[in-house]
Amino acid sequence: MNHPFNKKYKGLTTKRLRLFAAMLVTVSIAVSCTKKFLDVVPDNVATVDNAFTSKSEAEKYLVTCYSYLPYEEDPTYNPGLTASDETWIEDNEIHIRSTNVAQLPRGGQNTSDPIINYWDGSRDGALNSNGNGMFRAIRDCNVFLENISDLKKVPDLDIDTRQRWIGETKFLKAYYHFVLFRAYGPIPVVDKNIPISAPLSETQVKRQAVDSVVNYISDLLDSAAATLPASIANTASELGRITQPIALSLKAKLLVYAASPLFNGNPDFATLQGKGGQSLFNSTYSADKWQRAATACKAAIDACTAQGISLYTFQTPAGTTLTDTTVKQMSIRNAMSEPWNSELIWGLTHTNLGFNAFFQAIGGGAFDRTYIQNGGITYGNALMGPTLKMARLFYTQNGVPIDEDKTLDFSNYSALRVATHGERFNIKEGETTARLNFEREPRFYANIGFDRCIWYMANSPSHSDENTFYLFCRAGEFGQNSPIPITTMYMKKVLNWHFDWNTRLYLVYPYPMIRLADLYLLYAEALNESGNAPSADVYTYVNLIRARAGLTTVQNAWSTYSNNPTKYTTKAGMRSIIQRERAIELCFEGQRYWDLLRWKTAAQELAGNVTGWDRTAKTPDLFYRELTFYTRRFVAPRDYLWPLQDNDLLNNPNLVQNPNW
Amino acid sequence: MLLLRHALSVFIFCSLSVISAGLYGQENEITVKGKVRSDSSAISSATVTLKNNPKRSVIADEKGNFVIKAPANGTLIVSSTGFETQEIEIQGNSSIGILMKAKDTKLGDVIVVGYGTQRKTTLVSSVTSIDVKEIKGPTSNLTTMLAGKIPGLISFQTTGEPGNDNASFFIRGLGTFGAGKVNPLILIDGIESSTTDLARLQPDNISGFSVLKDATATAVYGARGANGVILVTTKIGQSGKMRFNVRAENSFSSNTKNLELADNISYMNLANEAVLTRNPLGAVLYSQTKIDHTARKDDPLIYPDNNWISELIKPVTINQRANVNISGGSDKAKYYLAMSYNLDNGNVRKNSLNGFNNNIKLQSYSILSNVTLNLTPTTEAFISLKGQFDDYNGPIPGKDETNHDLSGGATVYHNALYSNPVAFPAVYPSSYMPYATHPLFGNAVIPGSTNNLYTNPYAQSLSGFQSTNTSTLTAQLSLKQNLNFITPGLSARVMSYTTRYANFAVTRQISPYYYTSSMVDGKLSGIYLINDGSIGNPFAVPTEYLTYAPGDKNVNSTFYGEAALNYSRNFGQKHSVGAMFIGTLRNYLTGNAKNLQLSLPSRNEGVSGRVTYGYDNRYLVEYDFGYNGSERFAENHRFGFFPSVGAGWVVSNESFFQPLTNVVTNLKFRFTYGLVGNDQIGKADDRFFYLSQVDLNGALAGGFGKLYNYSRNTVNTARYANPEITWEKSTQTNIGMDLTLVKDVKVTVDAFHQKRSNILMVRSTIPTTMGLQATPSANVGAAQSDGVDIALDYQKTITKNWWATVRGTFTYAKSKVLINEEPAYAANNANLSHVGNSISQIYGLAAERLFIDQIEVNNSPTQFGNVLAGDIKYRDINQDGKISVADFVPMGYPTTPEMQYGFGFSTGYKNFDISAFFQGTARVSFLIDPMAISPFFNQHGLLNAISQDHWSENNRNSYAFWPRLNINSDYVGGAPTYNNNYASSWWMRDGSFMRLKSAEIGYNVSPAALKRFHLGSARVYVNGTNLLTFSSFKNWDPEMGSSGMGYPIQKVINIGVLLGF
Repeated sequence: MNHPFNKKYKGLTTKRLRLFAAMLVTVSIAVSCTKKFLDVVPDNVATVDNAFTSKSEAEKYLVTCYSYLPYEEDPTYNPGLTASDETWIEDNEIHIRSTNVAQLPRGGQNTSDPIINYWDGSRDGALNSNGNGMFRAIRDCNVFLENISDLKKVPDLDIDTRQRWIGETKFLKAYYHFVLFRAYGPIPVVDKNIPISAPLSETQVKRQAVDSVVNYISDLLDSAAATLPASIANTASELGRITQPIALSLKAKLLVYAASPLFNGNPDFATLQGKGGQSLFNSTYSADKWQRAATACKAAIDACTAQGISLYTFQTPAGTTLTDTTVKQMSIRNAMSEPWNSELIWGLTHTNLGFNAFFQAIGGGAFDRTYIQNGGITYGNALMGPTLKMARLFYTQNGVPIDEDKTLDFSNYSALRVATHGERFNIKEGETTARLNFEREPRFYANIGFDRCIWYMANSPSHSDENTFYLFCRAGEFGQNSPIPITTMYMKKVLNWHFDWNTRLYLVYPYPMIRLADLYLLYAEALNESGNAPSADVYTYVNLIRARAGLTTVQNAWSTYSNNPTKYTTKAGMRSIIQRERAIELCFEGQRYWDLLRWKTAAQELAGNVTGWDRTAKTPDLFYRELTFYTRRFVAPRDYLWPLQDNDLLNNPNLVQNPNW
Repeated sequence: MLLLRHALSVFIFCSLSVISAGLYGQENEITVKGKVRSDSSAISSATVTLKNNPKRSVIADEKGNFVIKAPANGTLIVSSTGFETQEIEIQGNSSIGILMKAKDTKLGDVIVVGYGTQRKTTLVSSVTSIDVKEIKGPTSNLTTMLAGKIPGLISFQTTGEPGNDNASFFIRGLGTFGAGKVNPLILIDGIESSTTDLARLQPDNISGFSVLKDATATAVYGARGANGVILVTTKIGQSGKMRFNVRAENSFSSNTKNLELADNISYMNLANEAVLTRNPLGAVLYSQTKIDHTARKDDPLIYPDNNWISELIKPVTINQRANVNISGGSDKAKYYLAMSYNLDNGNVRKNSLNGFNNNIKLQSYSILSNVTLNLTPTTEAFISLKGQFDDYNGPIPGKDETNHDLSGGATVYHNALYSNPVAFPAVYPSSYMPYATHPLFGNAVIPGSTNNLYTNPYAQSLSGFQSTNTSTLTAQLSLKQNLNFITPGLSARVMSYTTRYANFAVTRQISPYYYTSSMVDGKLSGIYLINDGSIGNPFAVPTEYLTYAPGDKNVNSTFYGEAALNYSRNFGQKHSVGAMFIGTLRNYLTGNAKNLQLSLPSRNEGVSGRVTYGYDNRYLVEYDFGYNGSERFAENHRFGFFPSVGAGWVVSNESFFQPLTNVVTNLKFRFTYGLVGNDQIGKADDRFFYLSQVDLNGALAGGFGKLYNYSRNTVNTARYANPEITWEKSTQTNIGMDLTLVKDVKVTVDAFHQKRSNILMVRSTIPTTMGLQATPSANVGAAQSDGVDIALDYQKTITKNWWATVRGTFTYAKSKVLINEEPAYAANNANLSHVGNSISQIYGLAAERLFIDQIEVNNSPTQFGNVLAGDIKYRDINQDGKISVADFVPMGYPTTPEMQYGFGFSTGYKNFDISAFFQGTARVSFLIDPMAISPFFNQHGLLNAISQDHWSENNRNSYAFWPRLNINSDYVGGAPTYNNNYASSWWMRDGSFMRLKSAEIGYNVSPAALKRFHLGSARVYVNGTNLLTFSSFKNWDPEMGSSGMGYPIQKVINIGVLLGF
């Protein structure tokens, strides 16, 4: 075609050719440099291997293994605190997530989305609701063990530290298995990680029989104990890490669980079989299990004693005058809530101190009237309180149950009575309160904050237990914002004695996972069960606890005051005494709930009416009326074991559901 | 642009003709004066040629006027770009008005396809090109106008909130169920754009709108084309005198349907019933005294009687839109400049005491500058600058009960239903506190609580505002070089653009002062402040001054370049050959990456090509391919090859068919088959599946030591490496037919089958005992979809003054899951499997009816919790004696409609025209969320529908709309625990509807009047959208589906004027 403008622009032909060439070059560059263009990822992007290149990086992984320890110090996460019969939380309580753990005692457990789902890590069944279930914890422990056992990795890690870390991680792995075992019974044991690329069928693990789970955990704890330090040398930065006494104590506890009626010859679960037809519960009772438990308890006690762990007793600080009554109570209170006290075997620490502070806030009653009346902020978290059942459980001042004491009549425990001068270290003199609160053992006064009780604290204005704080929790005493637990009572022991309403700072303490008193009582229980009649050591270890609590011996108390004076001489009678002693000594420490399950007494104890006093009343006559807040149901044997989530059974056809779920 | 150049050469050619025309004189000639116009305006620069003497030709002036000497019995040929050429017999008239019919681009000659244009007659792939007039409407959001207008596109809109009202749209339905991109690739002038970019486009500025539907059309986009492609081109200047067009509109917008709340006497009575029906000894919530006083309207301050909908929401809001464009140019340079301004107000009420506006106010501005330069006679440069700016102001966004984010407008509507209507007055008259300079909002402490106040939705709505500013700037340059001098038909092109996006949000709010009334002897004695800010007061301290919170800030930048070679030539009369070869690369950077991996550039590159061959306009074949790479995959999976083939047969051009062409003007069959990919898989946070994502500095843990202060960071794995992950693959087959009957009836039918494989799925069936911190994903899923798209057009000029068109579209697309990551369900749980069901299938419990009595409850499978008569009875599908999530069954239609259709007409008589378009959606279901409308739960209000029709002791209707009332329909972390709140067939509704989507009446000012005002054209019109809706569902607009409690879809009546100079 003859373009009309061709002549004019003729000179540009070479330009056009150059342009065309440039275009061709662009296209070919675009095609040829493809590989480089898409290679956007730099070489040193972080991978798991980076965690094992140096000691300081590897330590992070060790801490990661620790990080899965459930927040046992927080009632939001610990069913032992919340689902037990010791306390009650109001429905729809905004401070404690009312949708998960608080639904457990209200019959909310289910299979579609189980509450406190340790298996999958949902609904607070782990340190948080982000899905860090126990199996994740175990996988991380395994990753750490695989890598740290390889001497080529972490070259700057000396062999002693390496052995210690291996021991700690083995312990943690054992503990995470224990948490699962405690809830579900027979569980899959994950000793080695299954590779992520494994075919689906290989990932579908089976549940193992109770006995083999227990043996696995027990062996793992032995292996951990072998390389763990006997005590913490560097207390400034390592207290809270795992030691040999902790491993041995957990083993003792594990074996006591395994010997207990729930797992030892329990006929209820005889029919529970794995997919291959193997029996998951051994339904034959074995007394040897108790013997094995007793041996483990003794070994743990010996290991603890060797490290100077001893029952705690309170020392009156200089400049303060205290009566014996108060000192006794302080020994009891501080055995739980004094940081790093001499009795603590395993104290749980967490970076977030708020969990412990929250627990204490629940225990903090409105006892400092001076401050509160001057405009103190009284609303708070204190909405979980001891039940009347728990208050009744404590002994009389004679060291026997209130319904067994032949010298003191508690049959009308809501009758009103005025505190005398002689009772002024327990109850505010001249104030009226219920019969239940009079003439009780020191642990009652140390544990229960009841209306008009004395509440001694470190900042007592009188520098003594005379004229000190006392509690008032009738309606309207602090205006409409006053927080009173629904039962009107507080968990006094939980609050560290350095709390001050003025600053409202809580002195946090490591939550006692295991303390010596617990171990003594486990030992007494195992000894009692393994013989035909209580041996001398059974009494010895119970009496050690009673002595610290300011009570006379079992033998003396029952012989002298009980209307069942020979109770302690029989195995069954002593069993009942030890069980009650545990309930009292370890109350509000998250132990009783699991004890009731393993004793198979939960069907009676975790059922029935939950009661307390009437916090809406202003006068004693109306206040001390026993109100029922809820009627609990326990479906036996179903509720003795946690249900597996429906989805888990669908995803893994090799799993079986726990009975009746 | 080819078109334009073509037009230009015609122009030049014609100009030469005019000069030479004078040389040829003839007998019996008369002078003919005429005017060329279209329906709406005069057409300038039309070419008028004498048929038997083509050299005699004139060009009409800018007002369409021309003068030509012609034989009295001669015939004129009138042509103009964009209009159909007409032949007019003079028949002795010396004055002729010529009405030009706009060329229908859908059926027109050249349409836009991937990286180029193709002639409609040679096209074998499935491409719908629509006239932009069809999607014009009184809205600032183009995406809301697509439903029913484009065959093959499924579109729906779930909210009408300005700034948040983009419709969802899927080409040929939902084809995948991956977590990644499921909607089409949008390219505006070749620039990859977001849905919002498309939404803000002004129809005035659009010259082409194509939807690429099958593999042959999209294969050139390779790994990005699997979900279809929408191509939009903006207008470019035409040489000639400057033209100036102005459009101004003012519209009145109101909700298509409001939620109807019950009156407050019913509210209180039913709240009491809700307590007593579950617990006969329970304490009632409202005393009879309060109810009586409220009924007597004694004192609304003591006995509040709020209707939150009417207190928070205005019935009508007014919006404005304006667009101005200027175009023109010479043979060297042409320009098209456009500016637009849209103002969209929400319908949230303001309070005069506030110094700020809490209502939604979205102002969007856009500028467009398209300049075409002829650098040399064979070199053309195109420079385009686009700017889009959104200034938004609106209520502060909140959250719903299950803690999901809500937009600002939705929050207001949510709170209106959420809040208790009788607990407090919205606001006390300022006379109670004459000196207060803040509104005296009412509130009260929730009974039974110590430190919780009610939600006062009025105060919440007025307490502050969020403002966001968004800018998108694009600069684009392209060069086209004609390479005819190398070989005829060859040309080359390079194009590159960069897009810069910036967005930020800020929130400013006050903390409301809440007052409550004090009473003396049952009379209001005064009001006092609840949240007085004193020590010990548990409530938020009020402020009169605003506090400030910064919000999200997002910036990103995209660079793109492409270089292409084109070849198109006819050999002899019969062979036409075309080829296109292109290389592209794209680089995207973001400034808001959450971690190192996400901060790395996102890149794509590839080469694509197309070869077409046509023989004798009868047999057509086409081959397309894309070879693409994406940085997201491991090296061995980085590049994918996506080929496709197509063939066409124009039956009507066969000689044997000629006898039929009077009836069947055109008949063509098309077939295509090919592979396309989707690399936008997975969530945005999951870019490099082949890399693990490990955080070596996670949250602190430990707390060891005496003072608990020895902590270390933890190591967390967010993703495990999987080098095998690659694209989603889509194999598509299309069979199509184009049919024109008796010249005017045009039918296009396309049937398709798509199989999508390699869908990325989370491997959720890996047991949790594996202890994985992140669930791995793999390309395991597969789905298929099938369907048909039909378009029908009929255009007719009935008389000289009367024309009419009728149009209809029909789309049917059904999807089916083929492989789903799910457990191997046993026979009694086969109901849980997704395989074989639609991708957006609803699952829920099978509700039988409400329980009749306690005896029935006792004899039925265990339901959820403590169930009474009047609660929903579910069927135990797996026969295990209890109702659980294992009893879920697929039910109803999918939530994405399977069928969408539209039909409408336009007709004009002289200066008037009228059009209407109906749009319908069918085969769609949705679930009502019972928790969201549960009366009395938390502070919830009561819907009239529930008030009118619920199960009660006096109305034991087992099929009542609402089951037995309950004040405590609890839920846990989004999952219901309460029997009646589970997803079930009880709450499923048919989502199908038909609506009068748009209608318009227009008047084009007559030429005489135009002349008087020196106007080129003028049109005034009244139009509207969503004017009527027909549906069996009455509680809210059915298109909103399960989001019915949000900001409703808008009904708009609009007045507009269009002026051309």
